[in-house]
Amino acid sequence: MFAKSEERAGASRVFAKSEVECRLALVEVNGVAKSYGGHLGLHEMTFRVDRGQILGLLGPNGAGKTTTLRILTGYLPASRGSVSVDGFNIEEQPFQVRRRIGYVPDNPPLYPEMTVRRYLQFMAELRLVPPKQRAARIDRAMEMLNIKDVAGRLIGHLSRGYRQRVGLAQAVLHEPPVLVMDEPTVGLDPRQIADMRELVRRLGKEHAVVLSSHILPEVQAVCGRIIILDKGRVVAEDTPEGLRRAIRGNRTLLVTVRAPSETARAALQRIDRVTAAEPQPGGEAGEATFRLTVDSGADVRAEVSAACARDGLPLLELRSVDVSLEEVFLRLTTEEASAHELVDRRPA
Amino acid sequence: MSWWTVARRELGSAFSSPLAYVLMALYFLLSGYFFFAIVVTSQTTDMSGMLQNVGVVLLFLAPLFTMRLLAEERRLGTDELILTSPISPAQWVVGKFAGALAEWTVFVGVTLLYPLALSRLGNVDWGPALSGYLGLWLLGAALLAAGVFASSLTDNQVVAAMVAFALALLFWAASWVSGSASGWAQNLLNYISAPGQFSPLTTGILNTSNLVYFVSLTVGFLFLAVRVIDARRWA
Repeated sequence: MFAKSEERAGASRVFAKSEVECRLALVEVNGVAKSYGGHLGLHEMTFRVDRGQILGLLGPNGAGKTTTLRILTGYLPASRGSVSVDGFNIEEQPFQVRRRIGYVPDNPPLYPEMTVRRYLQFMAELRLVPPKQRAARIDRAMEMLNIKDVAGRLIGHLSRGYRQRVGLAQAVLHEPPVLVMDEPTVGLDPRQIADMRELVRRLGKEHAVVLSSHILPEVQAVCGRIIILDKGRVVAEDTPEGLRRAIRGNRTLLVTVRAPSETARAALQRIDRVTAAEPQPGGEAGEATFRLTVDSGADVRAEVSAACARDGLPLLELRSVDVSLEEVFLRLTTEEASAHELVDRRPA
Repeated sequence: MSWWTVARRELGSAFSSPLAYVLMALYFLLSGYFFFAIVVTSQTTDMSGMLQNVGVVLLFLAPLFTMRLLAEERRLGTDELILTSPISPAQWVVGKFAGALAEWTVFVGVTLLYPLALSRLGNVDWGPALSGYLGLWLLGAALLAAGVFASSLTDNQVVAAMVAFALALLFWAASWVSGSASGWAQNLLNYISAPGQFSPLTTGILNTSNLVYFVSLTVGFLFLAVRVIDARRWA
């Protein structure tokens, strides 16, 4: 009796474990490459996206972002490698994969002659939403995207912002575990961009989201992980902070003291692990500002503060200078050496 | 039944655009003219002459019916939406064709009023009349399928219409050149000639080979359209 119940418990643990594993490996892209007539447009790409994660594909135009998304959604077949969604292989069980993906291409795919509600009804049927659930799902999607007020209007008469939201509504109708969005904020005004980002963040809590963008603040704002693509190659993959850290290497501090420039410079250069104190232009009379480069990313703010106190130099400002993601992006897509360094730092 | 979903959308969409009504007006104007010119003025209840002339009109109208079907989807980018939904290219093409065929069926159905009106004035031989209408419907189906294929080749509706017209003309004109050929070539040209297969139906001769010809042409062009869509994914 005891053995049996243990067996049952063991079985339920195994079940629970495999269930967790399934949930975690929602999207798996392994060694996917795409060639067009002998030219390799997308080099081997590997990534995983779990439920509750938002992965951003970042890169300049023509980097291979849309190709990657099209392969992920089954619109294009990969030349090499494999894609699986929720455990289903895209080549072997394409319909199972498509049922689990909501896709928003960069240009919202809409029929201008249809009303919003009729369009969503059509999409719900096409996405095989059970007839009894269709009306409720459509209402839910319209509420989520805040488009109920235009339900009866022709899509062709809607503004770009509304059309973008209708395009997103069709992607969530069948409640897919995976959402794929190609440049979701292109053409939106700043207010609509903020709304869309908030929406993507919200969707990212329940779904695995893969989005592409060439706009840095966008991926920085919503993505927990970023893959930077350039000319069809992955040049970096990390969290936004990880990318900044990787490119930063040596830590940089900005220090302002009330003292003659030479006195202050001498005091700062005596600090252990400070490799350079570079005077910065501007500032008030009698004040000196330096950009300190610190070896090995060490945090020497306490030492700086102590050195200034010891030499009687009033410390007016002391702060870390962060590398913006824009700098990371530009360095990665323009400097090959940096790119290769970072590729080596990608997680296995 | 994904194809049925596509077909219903197609039909609804067709009748929400002015093109369908322009085509309808043209079709009824021309078929009405032929009805009057041939049937009324010659004081006969034989519909074959009128139906054969309507067949010629169809040569021009069918490309207009079908030019936007797949080309428009590519231009709007909605093909990406469809082909990432749980629907196969074959279901999509069949749905598109079924929508256009339903539209054509409405057109043919309305012109059934002509023999009905005629039956109040004289004795209509319903056998040849109905087989003629069946022939017209089948001819329309084949030309629409050719149009679907043409529309799958491009995202430009005008190009799609021109290709569809060229294909239709190829089958229509085969008998024109068959006279200058001989042997098997002549037989082949006579067989692929659409008017040659259509004419017997308008006179009440319901031959299986005529039906097989139109069905084969329809299925063949739809198959080619599916292959084009599949091939584009791998290009």
